[in-house]
Amino acid sequence: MKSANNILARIRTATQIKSHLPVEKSEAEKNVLEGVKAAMPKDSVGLWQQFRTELEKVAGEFYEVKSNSDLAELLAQVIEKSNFNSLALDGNADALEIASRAAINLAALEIIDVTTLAAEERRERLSNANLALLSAPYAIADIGSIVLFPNEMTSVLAHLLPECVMIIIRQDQMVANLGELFAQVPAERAKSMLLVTGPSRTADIEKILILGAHGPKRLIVAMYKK
Amino acid sequence: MELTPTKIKAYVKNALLDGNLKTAVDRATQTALTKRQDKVDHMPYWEDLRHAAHAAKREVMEHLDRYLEEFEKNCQKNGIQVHWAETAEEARAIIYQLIQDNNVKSIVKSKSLTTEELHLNHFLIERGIETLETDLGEYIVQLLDQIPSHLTAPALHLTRKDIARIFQEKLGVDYTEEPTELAAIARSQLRRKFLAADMGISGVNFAIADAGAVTIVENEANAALTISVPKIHVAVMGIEKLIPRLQDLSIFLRLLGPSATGQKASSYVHIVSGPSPASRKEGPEQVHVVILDNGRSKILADPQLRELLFCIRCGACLNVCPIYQQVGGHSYGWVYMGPIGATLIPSYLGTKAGKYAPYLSSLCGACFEICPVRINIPHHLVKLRNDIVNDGHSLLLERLGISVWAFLAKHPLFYRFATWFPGKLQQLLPKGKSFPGPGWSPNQRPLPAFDSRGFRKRLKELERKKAI
Repeated sequence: MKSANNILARIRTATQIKSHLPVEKSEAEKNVLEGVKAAMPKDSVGLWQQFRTELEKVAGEFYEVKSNSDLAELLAQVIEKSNFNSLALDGNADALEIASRAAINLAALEIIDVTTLAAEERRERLSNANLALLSAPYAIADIGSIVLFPNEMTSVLAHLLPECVMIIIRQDQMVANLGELFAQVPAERAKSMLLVTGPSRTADIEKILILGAHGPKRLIVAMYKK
Repeated sequence: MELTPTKIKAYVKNALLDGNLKTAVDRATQTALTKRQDKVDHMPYWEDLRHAAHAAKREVMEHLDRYLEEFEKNCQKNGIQVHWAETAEEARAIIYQLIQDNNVKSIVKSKSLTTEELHLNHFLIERGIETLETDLGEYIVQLLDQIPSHLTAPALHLTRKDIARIFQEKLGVDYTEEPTELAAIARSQLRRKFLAADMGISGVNFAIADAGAVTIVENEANAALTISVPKIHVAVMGIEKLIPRLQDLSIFLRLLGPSATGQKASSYVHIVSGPSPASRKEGPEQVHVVILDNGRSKILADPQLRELLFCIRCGACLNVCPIYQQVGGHSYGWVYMGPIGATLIPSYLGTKAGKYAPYLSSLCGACFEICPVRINIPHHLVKLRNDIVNDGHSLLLERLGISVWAFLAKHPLFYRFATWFPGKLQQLLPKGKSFPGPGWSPNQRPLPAFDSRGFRKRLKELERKKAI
């Protein structure tokens, strides 16, 4: 408490001195909002097309699906093509159904339901999982991002530890930009948030882009179109 | 390896002779600049963004006490434990107390130059606490016992060969120069550490006053694991990291991505406002924020230099600076480098220790043009140079030189002689040669040839020619 008071007292004294700084453009924020609005796609098709473009720019993969059986087929293809043998789920009922359907023809597939695991085992199993099938409440079109609210989720680590993550989102969950998201989601919810944009990456070695630094190497978004 | 800004001249000399460094720095800075320009070209409102960001930071700095109190109150409502540290020593003590209270044996850290400023790692390692940097660049640099050489690309000064050698030496792995293999080695080494760590320490990119939350921005997911796996998360922030509202992130994130790495958006943006609910089986049980002064309130007290506190640590000024491009980050001798570092070194460490730093600049102004928060760095560098001279720390030779020139300027006859004489003296030199440069070294460029006619004579000649 003493340190807090000392620091605040010093700050109060300091800020009594008026700044010698240039006067700023007062309509700057307004201009930004207008500029961002002008660049927004005009309809929901435009929005998810923009999302797809942005996602693919950051090495994300995008598929459009129309039904659970579509999704199951996509899942099976991804698993077979990449030779995956373990799939993690976070307790979502739909995902479980889709995974079961996909697994019918995939004998060697191990399905891990994290809700049945204690904390430490969960971390180990997720770390060794090839793929996780998950969902997200929102997506942001202008940056190709997935929006998660960790405090509401069974498992955030399912999004971070496996090698490959497949996230299901619905077309009507797309928002244009972060500003729109903040307008739709109350602050109480938004203040505990994780935005995921593509797979994890680093360029720390000679500025060469490498995917899968400490998090997933691959991020697949399956968009449910009505 | 302990660097100090008082040895800047020696570091610069070494850096200029290091061809590998130049190649590495060029590659890193040019990539970032090209990618940034591409993003900026698609944002016609870029200048407005910069103005809006400056205004938001100015609003916070001019009422910093109020915003800090709001931030603390909201953090506490959210279940974050807030600590205040006046000095680096106090910050270290606070963190060490948390470590002892919670029986912490191993720590993972995500990138935080603020913790470098505190010399936190050495302090903890000396006390037997395993403290591991997890950002790939910082991990590599830690293995070398160095400090980062760039704000956002810590290992920018190293080649793949350097990294291959360090990994082989320190980790006992087979030698490989292949970057994807090197990254994979680091991934598997650090994955084990993440899963076993008792505490995660991160920095803070933006602290949000109205939400009582901290924002952490990254690409590797190392910060994600640092703050989500261990039971305790400690976030360290300077008092200047505040922004007023959650929605201000729209402005700052749009500026940060392109400025820092030339990306539209970073891979992960974390907004953290407290420990995980008990019902979840994941996430931290405790979240602590350490609010640090350590000289910032002193900078705040200067009505001009307080603008330095607006810095969002993007590193754009480093990338565009012609000096940084030649000498790299270690030449500055402190944790903050490049143009912003050149202002912060004397501001934090005083004009004596910082007497060289503001001169690592040609005052070209590129840093001001590129700064996403419009910090007028050249303006501040000039003021700091004034401070250094007024405090009596300018170089003796420089003071002598200025005195001589001042004498000549006040005595026109002597001035005329002084401008006439070198030209005459030059005639004694062999044809085509000139005097050696100020360094008196045979490797440096010689001075240009003097024209003994001087300005006034030449002007008369030109006017005569024109009249004909």
